[in-house]
Amino acid sequence: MKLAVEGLKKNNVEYIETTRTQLKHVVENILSDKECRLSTCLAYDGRGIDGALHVAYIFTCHREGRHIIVDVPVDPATASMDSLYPLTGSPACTWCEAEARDLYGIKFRGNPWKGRLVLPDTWPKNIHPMRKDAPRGKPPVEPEKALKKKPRPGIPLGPYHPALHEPEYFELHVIGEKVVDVWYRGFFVYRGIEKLAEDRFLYHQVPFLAERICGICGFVHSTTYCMAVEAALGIEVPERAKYIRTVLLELERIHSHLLCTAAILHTVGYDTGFMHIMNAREEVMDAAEIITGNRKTYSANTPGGVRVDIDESMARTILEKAEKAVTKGVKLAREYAELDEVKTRLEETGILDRKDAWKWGALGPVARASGIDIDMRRDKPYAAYENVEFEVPVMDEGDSMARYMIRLEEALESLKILKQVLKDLPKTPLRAEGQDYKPFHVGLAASEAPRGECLHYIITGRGKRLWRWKIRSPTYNNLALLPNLLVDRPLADAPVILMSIDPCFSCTDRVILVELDKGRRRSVSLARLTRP
Amino acid sequence: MPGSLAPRLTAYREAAEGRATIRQYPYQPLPPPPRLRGVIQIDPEKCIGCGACATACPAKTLVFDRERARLVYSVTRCIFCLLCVETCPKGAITSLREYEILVEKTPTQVVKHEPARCIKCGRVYASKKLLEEVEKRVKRKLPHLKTCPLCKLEQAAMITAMRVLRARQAYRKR
Repeated sequence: MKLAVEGLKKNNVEYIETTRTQLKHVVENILSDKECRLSTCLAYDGRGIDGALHVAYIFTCHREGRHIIVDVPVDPATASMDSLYPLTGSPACTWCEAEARDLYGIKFRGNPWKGRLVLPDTWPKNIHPMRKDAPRGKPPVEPEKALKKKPRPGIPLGPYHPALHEPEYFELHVIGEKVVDVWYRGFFVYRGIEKLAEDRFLYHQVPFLAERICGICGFVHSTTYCMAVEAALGIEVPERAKYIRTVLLELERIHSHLLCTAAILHTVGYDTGFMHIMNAREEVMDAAEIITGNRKTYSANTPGGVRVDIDESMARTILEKAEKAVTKGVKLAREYAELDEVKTRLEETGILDRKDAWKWGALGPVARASGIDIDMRRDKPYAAYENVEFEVPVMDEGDSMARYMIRLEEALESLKILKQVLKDLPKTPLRAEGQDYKPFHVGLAASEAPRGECLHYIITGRGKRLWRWKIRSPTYNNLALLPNLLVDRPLADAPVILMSIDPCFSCTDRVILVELDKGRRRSVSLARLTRP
Repeated sequence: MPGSLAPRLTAYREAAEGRATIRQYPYQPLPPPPRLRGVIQIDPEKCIGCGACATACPAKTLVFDRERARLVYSVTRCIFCLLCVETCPKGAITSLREYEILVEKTPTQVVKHEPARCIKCGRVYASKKLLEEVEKRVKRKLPHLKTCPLCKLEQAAMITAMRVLRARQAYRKR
């Protein structure tokens, strides 16, 4: 049996099947185009399909809006292949391969990552949880073994509170006030959402799970998942559904960006600004509540359409509220950035130049603040973005101030999009009727989340369940930049720089990363973190 | 700091004009939005016990216990997606304008149905209302509805075996 990939072509995705020996030439060929870079890679257990484990590398050619999937079968008996790290040199490559190694037990020769990445250090060597034949039950962790390791000295930031209230752990090594080394360990909230969806959920129930990946940009995840399913099964989404999705996506972008700017002000200690911008943001939350009944977690998506409708009087109210929030929020945020205590903290801190941003795989506002002109909404229009006119703001400074300002510009653009979309909603049904589920079809969808390009890759399986669901959230790539930005900066700048990336740990942590600078690789045990 | 005087004035003005967002909550309850997805209520009169809502429920908060012919809804696991409301063929489930579920005693709804027992093995396999509903839809009596799926399978297997035997005997006689 082979995977069906017809759905991908319509979506401007190239699917290349190759062998382990040919892989290098294929990838060299792809990377010879300077606009293409490795987005992520994933493994899947294809033993129930064609008898082999598989590794798929996903490349994004941003300006053309093209994705390339390179699929390589791996013999399950030896389960090893050559790493692409020497070829791509991107840190994202080491992580996703290490992730595949932990979860599927595929060894990558030449990958510099030796320790555990996704699983705790105490996890038994021969159990690979994402394989289809993994044993069920309690996770087999031996705590005594973990306690033997000695803790390293350093300034711990987290896992409770570096700048925002999410579980992550930074260890900043300092000389005097200057950070010389950074070590990051995330992944404390790895809950195996992908496995959960594959095992327990039917494909049309997964949007509700996808929405809960992130508490801020959840609708992006459910939309991207639905688009991936629609691509795989060849479902045509009615125009009206596309427009309503666009409305909700843009409302989400506005509130996410206002939240980020408010949180930056909070981090530099200007809580007055935080309060005022959050107050302005409330209007957007109200608008979302009017449409869906909830401030967040809209539950509005379903493969093939949406579950809520917007009538004319509602459209007027939404637009009024969004306009009020954006004009007020942006005005206040711009003025507060003029304050000396804010300005001096943001300007020229955490400078990221264009070359580094590209090499390290920066996405979204972080990339655009460093002069990389990418935006999935324009490059590969989805939902109703091909019918609206908007600009993609780009700045060249690359410092925290630029990342702060670019979000305000984007909020203004979002308002422009909302105005165009809400002016005339097409009169079509809300859902595509008569979907038939076909097993072993591949779908890939990309969208521009408030934090950058979000990728969902699915393989449909038997019994209306997914065979594989891979999520690559934008913070996965953006967080990789952090150690680069923090090194050689004063310790006091660390939270501001961290916040200017607008990280979203929970959505990254389903995949996890550990970041280490200067060639040192160590991993912290679970028991160490729970010790007082 | 003369440079940052203007934004400071803005902040003061904003503080004076800003709306109050805090309510005296328990005494002054928040008005829920018109499209609120709240706690669901199952109408036991309309419910026929088909279990469609339990199949649709992503969080498995609605569970249909086939062996006791009862539908159980525990609000603590509910994610308020309202797929059950969409799915219910009889329109028996409605969403209440109720969102306060952090109460001392979380409400659990149980809809008990009159169980239909299999005439062969005596096991409960569905609710009587469901069988009545099926007969009402096809507008005639269906005697084979009175046996449970397992016994039906057994019966089918027996019939097939008998047919094979008879065919073999007929062949031998020839």
